[in-house]
Amino acid sequence: MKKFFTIVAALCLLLMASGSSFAAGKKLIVIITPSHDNPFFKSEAVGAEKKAKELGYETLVLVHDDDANKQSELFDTAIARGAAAIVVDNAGADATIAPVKRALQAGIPSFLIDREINQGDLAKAQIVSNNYQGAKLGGEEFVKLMGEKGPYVELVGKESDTNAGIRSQGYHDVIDQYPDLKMVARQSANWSQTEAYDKMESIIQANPDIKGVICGNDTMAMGAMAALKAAGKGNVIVVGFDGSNDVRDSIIAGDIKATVLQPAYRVAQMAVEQADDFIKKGATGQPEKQLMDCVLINAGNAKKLETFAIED
Amino acid sequence: MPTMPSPGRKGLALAALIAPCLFALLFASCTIVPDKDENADKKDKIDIYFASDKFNADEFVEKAWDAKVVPFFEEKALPIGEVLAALAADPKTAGSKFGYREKAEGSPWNYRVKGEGKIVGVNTESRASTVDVDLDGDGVADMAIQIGPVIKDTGIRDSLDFISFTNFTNQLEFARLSNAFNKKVNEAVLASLNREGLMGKEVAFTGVFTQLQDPKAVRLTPVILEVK
Repeated sequence: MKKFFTIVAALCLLLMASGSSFAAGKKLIVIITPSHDNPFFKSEAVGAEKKAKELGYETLVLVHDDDANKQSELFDTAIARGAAAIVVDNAGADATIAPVKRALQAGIPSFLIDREINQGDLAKAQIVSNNYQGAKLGGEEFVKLMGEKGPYVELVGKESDTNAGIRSQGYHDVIDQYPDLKMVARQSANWSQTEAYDKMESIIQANPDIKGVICGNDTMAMGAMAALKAAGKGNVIVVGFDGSNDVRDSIIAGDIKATVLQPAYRVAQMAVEQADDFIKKGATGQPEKQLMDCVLINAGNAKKLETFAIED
Repeated sequence: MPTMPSPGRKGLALAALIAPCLFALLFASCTIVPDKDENADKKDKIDIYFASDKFNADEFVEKAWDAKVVPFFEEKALPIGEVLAALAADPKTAGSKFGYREKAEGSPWNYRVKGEGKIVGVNTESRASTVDVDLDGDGVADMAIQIGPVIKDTGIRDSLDFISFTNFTNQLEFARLSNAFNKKVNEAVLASLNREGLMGKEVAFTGVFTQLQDPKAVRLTPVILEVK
């Protein structure tokens, strides 16, 4: 009897799912990102959803909270719903290979934004910011702000994300050319504002003379800046990466000194456009892996920045 | 962003364990190693996530340089005067006529060019040294040529139509490739350059420049360079 109910329930769900996606004859695009607590990811979701609706798709917006298991379940949801495409900012360069493969086997193409996976020929597109180019821009600005010398700290992003590695590489390829810049601490704060605040607090205690903090993203820069101000060290040079409105406001207020804009909103829209091309024509017309250049944001152009896009 | 680390993240605990050791190593090395090697040493000690030695960028460049890269530039390079005139006339349309980029949007155009001129300025205080070159004989610099040892831009990698980001595992490999190309420029093109007395010399070049935000800023990375 229990089994019977399960089957009925499953059938109902299936009907509901198919009912909603076929009712208006609309195809479904599932949009999966990390938590919208970080405005960067929210901007991606908003950009992708808007473009998908414009192009006549139904959308389902989901978050994986950087949990690879949860992401795997969300892929299964997309497969069960018979999605026409999945647009995803993924939860791990290695952990995401399996779900993308599973979707592909179910006939559902995936379009990756922001973060890569370590295997090609699975996703139909991987559109990522040119993090290396961006990190070098941020690194060069940091060196200039520091006057090419002094003790500094690096806050690194989440280990499972290629972007944490590539940004750190870009920073060091620039900064390490200046022997008078001394790194006194390097820690991961997992992209998190609160974690950055906590880590920064203890780093300040151990290294009261630090002159600068270079961060792998803007939320960590916000956390670091808050900890520095709380310790009466608001004049320490902080540089971030992303180009969020929070950091823009902080730059205008004279706190954080610079960040690097990733065109997150546009990247999300491009992924949907390419998904649409693929659904309609069977090809995106672009190479699988695509780099989008970043732009340096400082006091000179911060006012032009709005929701991960800059006015020309 | 999650405020708490996801459950079961052994990596975090591991990082917490490794980090202090790493710093200890760093400081240890800083005190022993002489100034000159400090940077190279520091770099080796920094643990970059996903960095692997599977891909040897230097070897890739070594194999490609004489066999493919130099002939490619000899074949594709356009007269620089023509390209600069097009850029001056309309920076928005010059790219599609004279430039190259792998995909349609979000990355700058690369111009493969050749030409001759006279060195009218030498900037060697910075490690990213350049010479200013006058092309039309009016005594005013029209462009700069990078003479290293630090080479900016990724123009060589990004102007070769037989190289695609799609064929590389991740951004780290692709970044390393651009660095290897720039290193090769230092070895193959610039090592033999007599950096003294460059001022006033005639120069012939083939190379690439990337269209920057300011279309008048022309910073060429040489593939062939001859100072007469």
